[in-house]
Amino acid sequence: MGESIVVHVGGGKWVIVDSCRNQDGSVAPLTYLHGIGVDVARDVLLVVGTHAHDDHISGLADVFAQCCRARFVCSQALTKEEFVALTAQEDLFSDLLRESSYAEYSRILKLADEPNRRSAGGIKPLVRAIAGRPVMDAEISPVGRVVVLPVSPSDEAVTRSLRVLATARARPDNSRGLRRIDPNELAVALWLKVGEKRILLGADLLVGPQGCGWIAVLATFIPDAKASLFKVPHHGAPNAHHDGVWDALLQPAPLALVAPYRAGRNRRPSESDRARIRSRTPHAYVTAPTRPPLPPRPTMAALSSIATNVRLANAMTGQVRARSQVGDERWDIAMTSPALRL
Amino acid sequence: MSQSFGTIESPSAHRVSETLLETGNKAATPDAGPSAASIVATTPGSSTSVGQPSAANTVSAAAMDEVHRQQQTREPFQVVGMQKWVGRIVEIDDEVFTAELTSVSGTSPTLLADFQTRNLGPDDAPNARPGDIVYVTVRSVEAVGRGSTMTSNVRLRRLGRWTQSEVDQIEELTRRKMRSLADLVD
Repeated sequence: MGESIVVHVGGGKWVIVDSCRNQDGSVAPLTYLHGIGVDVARDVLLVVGTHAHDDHISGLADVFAQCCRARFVCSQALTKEEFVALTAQEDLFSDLLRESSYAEYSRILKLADEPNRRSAGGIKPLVRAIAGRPVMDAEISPVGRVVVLPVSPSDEAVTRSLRVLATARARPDNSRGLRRIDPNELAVALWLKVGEKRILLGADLLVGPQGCGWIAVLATFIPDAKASLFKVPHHGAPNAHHDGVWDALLQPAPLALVAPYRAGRNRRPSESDRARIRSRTPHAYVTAPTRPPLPPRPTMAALSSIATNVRLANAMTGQVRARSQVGDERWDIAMTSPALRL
Repeated sequence: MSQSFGTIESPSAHRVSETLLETGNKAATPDAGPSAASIVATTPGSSTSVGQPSAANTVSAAAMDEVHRQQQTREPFQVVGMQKWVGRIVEIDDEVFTAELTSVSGTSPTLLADFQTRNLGPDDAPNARPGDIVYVTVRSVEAVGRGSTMTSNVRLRRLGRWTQSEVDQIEELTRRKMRSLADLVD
């Protein structure tokens, strides 16, 4: 389960946003890029971790390890002491606490500290994603100017999240445990300018609350042109839908891509989510069906005495590939099963 | 580290408690249980001639008969299958939690499943959070005359409480990480 996005920004250079694993455990973005002959050690410029939920971060440390010339982008909150303390807990007591998503970030921080990570120009390997501050702005032939701009999280979202992260910090006589605390408010939504094209990657960013999420984005970000491709945030869930995003940031009937969420009881996109997205664009695609496949019968039988809704956690990885030529407004879509039109 | 249990009855199966299972196992071992120990005791200094029952032999035979009688009245049990999973809570509310399960034996793929939150027990259910670890066990037992039954349980892993020493270690490592982070982040 999970989602990952790879973006060719021209000239054979790539940006990887989030990571997940294939059914066989291999890291999906690396498998794809290796499969098409990309030298990830040389040609990946940025690796972005939008937020520390398992379905966005699994294998991300492996990605950063192999993409040894890439800079790693994450929310600024994840470079603050409140979050670093949680990775320290993970480092020291992993046998007690078991593996968690913090282990990925802990390993990323260690990788960033390796001697080979700094470029000849002394450019630091980690970049804080701060709304309104580009993490990449370069001329790449033949595309032209390429800009990767975080539009979230807002300062208010970071402040709120740090308060929540602080509550998970180990204190004497508090219960041990590594609670998963990574509010979707902290998610890094990205605005990409690739030549004349604009792309909005919505991560899992939610609508609010006030001063956070899409409310904050719409209050502070005015694009020079609207996006023609939209990665729908938070698996199409209603708490991440804001009409203002579709009206102010996206072209009419943009290409909309959705990754499903199947881990919880409320699978996304639901039927009403699909209807809502389809009401905004007929060009919507999802990388896999919402219903996860069932496990073998003996396994289901064994657990049926105690559990319901038993399903496989990992299924075949679907893929939606959108391609557009320089100077052409059209997007050509190719789908790899089990991806399908929404 | 303390543990709590929620024992789930399969609705169509007979209940087989863990205590009964252990007793069954003990009866299967030749020298377990007080009855067996008293049977093998002999009278010091006694001797036995072939063909002539002695006082010591007479006691042993009667005791052995008693053992056989007791064994025949007990139902033999056999655990014919056991599966275990280690899980991590993905979502939880007052009624249901979802856990991602990894088979301990590696015999099944990683799963997602929903459980009744109350099955964690009254002490753990209110305190369980996403990220917490649970253990799921399913046993299949065959009993003579009673067919196959199944017991299952899910329990929360209790991790205890942080000590001052552990907190000090975490804080020291945090300080070191922050110092190196200062040189790594733009």
